[in-house]
Amino acid sequence: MIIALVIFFTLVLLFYLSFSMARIKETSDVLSRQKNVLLIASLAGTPEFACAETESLCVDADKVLALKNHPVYSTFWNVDGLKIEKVFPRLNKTIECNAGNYPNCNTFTFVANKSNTIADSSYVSLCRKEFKNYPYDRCELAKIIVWTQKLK
Amino acid sequence: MNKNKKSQSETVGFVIIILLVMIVGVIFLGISLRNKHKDVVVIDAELSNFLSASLDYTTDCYKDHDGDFKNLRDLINYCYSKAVITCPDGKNACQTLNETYSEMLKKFRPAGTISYSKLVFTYNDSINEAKFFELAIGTTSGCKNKRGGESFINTGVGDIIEKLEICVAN
Repeated sequence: MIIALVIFFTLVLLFYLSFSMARIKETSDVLSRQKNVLLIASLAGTPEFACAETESLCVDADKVLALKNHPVYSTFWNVDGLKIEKVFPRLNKTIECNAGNYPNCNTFTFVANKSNTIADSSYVSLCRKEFKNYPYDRCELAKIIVWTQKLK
Repeated sequence: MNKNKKSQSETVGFVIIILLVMIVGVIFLGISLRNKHKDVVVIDAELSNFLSASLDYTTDCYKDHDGDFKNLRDLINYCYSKAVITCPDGKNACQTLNETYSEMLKKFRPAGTISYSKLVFTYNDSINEAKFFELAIGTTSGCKNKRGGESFINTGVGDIIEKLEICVAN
């Protein structure tokens, strides 16, 4: 009977452990995603992206356009993909921004994403200078998307 | 005969122990599942960032002269104070907020499909707390994964709290 009890309680313990491990894994995934979102949001605060007026999640679209084609910035962030994508108002198709079509475009690609990577993103406001009677800031909703290597 | 009786009582004892452990296990499972189904909203950094970033969104509404365009942060203040503002199609600040956030939330795609979203603005100072705007899209039925985010606007006297709650369907 003692042997049977030991086997039974071992099975119960194994069941409990697998249940707890699944919950820990779930929590760890959520926390890791939240950490990535916050890290990406902090990118918006770097001098390369930030608006002159210090709104924490504001990216200067004029600056981004100027930096986009600069060769140094393709390796500067040490990521496997980096893109800023306009979310609202949304255009029907993806139009890569360049000096010719700006601001009638919706994507700034700094680093093209490589294969076998995962994407994390964070929302920012993408602002540019406009003029109608007076100069003003026109801000739209955008996403910074960063691709990194999958953890093995 | 005596040996047979002893083994019978051992089997009965074993069955009783198994039953006891199973009852405890079922109670434990019931409690943990009930906790999971409670109305728990997980605060999500992505939603809070969405709210904060959306506040800078420039609308076509202006206050004093054409070109002095106001963002959603300004409109929330005007909606609370019921200030007169010029918006396309003669809408007021609250109607423009409703329309803009409805469109924005339809385009909002965090991980998973959203079956329900609710956006609430509340004014809060040391004395009063008053809800002055609410926008709800979709249905709450069968919602198991609620996520929320919030953002604050300082008005000088008190704070306007912007709260977003969504239900992720998958």
